Amino acid sequence: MFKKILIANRGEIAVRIIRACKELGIKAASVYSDADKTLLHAQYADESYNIGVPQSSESYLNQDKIIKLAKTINADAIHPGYGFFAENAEFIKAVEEAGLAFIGPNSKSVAMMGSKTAARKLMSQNNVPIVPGTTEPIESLEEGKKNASGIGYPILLKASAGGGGKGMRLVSFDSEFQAAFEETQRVSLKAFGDDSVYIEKFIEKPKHIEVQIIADKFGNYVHLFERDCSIQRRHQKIIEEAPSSILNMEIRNKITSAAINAAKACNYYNAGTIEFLMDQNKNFYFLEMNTRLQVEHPVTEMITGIDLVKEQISIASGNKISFKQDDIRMNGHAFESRIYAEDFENNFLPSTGELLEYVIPSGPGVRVDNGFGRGSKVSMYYDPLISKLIVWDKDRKSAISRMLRALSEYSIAGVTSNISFLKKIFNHKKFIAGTFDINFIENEFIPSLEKENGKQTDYKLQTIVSIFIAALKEQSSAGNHIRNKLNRDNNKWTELLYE
Amino acid sequence: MSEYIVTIEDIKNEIIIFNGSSVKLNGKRYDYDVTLLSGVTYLLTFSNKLYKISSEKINDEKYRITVDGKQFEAVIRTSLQEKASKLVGINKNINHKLDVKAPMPGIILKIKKNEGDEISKGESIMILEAMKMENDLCAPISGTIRNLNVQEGIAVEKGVDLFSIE
Repeated sequence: MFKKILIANRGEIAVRIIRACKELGIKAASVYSDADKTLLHAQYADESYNIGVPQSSESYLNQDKIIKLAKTINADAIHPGYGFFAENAEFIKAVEEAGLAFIGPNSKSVAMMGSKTAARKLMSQNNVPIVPGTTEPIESLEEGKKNASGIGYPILLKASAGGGGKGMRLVSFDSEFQAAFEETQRVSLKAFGDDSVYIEKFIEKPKHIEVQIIADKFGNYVHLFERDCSIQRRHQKIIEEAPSSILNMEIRNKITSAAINAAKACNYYNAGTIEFLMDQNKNFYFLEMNTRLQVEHPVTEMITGIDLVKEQISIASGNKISFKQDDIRMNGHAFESRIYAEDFENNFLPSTGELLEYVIPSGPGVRVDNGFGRGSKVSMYYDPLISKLIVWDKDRKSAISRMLRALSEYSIAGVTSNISFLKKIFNHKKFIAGTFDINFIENEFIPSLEKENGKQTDYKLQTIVSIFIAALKEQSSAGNHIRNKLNRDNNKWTELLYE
Repeated sequence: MSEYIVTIEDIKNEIIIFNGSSVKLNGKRYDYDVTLLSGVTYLLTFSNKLYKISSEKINDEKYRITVDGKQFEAVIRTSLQEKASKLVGINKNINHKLDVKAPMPGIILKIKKNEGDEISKGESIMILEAMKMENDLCAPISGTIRNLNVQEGIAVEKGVDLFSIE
């Protein structure tokens, strides 16, 4: 087993990995930029190293700095978390060449899955259904138009190197094709440095279903069932659950076998996720493979009892998977809510600032993967995820109640959070019924948010806020009365002295 | 006894505070207690329930209040100040101009409208890139764009005047 691991990440995922290291008796070393000194990962690690100015390219994305640091401090492995270097084949290769272990797949598997067209081709050759469309980049406008009408409109134009919804364009008619094609090429060249574009049939009202797999270097492959991640805003997931409420055992068997085939096709090892789109007839199509730990991995951990991060570390150090497929049972239902510093009433605009107040939920069945504390600063340089709230209960209905209960225990001030938006979703009829697709937020919430008088007045909260603020004003005009009052309540001696 | 007007989301609430533990709101009388917990966070005891409330002062009369996961901007004025502000408000309405400021630090990626363009509420004016995301800045009211102060590609601090709408 490793003796010291360098964690090349920040925030809640760095904390998650530090926790696994500590429980395994491995020394955890963290890195932090100038903007992140106040975050928990800098405090919880056994060793913490400042890696410079806030800009990612100079800190968390500075390959030479990170590999050099790992060598200097005698770390024997690097865990990339998600984002940053996690799916960067070049970085993984450099880590391997530096004689360090990379906690994740090898660079070849990552490279194979990095190009969307190459991955689609590989999948279709290995019994993994793909969305109908092209498996090679489009060479010319004429070829593209011919392909599009062959597949049948509406279609999606996608950047081969894209992801996260960037470089994607819906085309409904032949007449729109040329403009859309040129724009997608331009956008993908700018965003990904590569202008290859391919065509996929547009699947209407799909669900986003993904399968967690894990594999070792001895050719053992295990799946850990599926997650439903259809609740997204601007193509970013905000609520995930496991298991999916719409799969029966037959479809579950099919989709998990397809996922294992996908992992085998690229000689994969370590933890990975195969994402699928599922149409309304429960046909599923390969979307992409994420060759890393996912943000939403905790819901899988909650229903299977497997610690994915410890397993990742163990596999990277050369061990076999510590369990067999038949050992894994699904138990109960889990949800994850991503707590973002953002203002949903203002077009989901990120919010920055210091967390002046920050209390996280607890209690039965509640887990919070968290990177911040009171006094931590949410900066403009990174993504605005503050923490993830994960709940488990015996069934989906109970887990929804538990999530609403836990969300109400958060107390955040200093930045705007999306907690009241999350509550609206968990109270929504269609969400409770499970009959939602990836357009849920766009269809059910965005129109009402944009409506002139879409805001519903909460008279009870109006009352409470009004009384509070008047009381505050009244007492502050009479000196710092509130603080004095509290001290007096706590200290009888003061009372004797002054009253 | 003091009289206050608290304005939240355009709704005006009239409050009379009696002796620091009793209050009359919109004509109804209640008992209350406020205790400072720490920093910006207080406990309000009201109708047999305790509410944890955070309060950040924006200026002398404006506060950002967080309670039960929801955020409000509340303006508090004494009844005298409220009368005065109404008079000022009438004058302001003649100009009816709104300055739009950068909601957060970032880089102006794209400006979609020109000075003098007629725009309607909710229309996207420019894209501000911050926190790895492209954020659409939309018109808060309908009108004409004036005083476009920024160019594509420049970095702006929070609170910088971007443009105004008349």
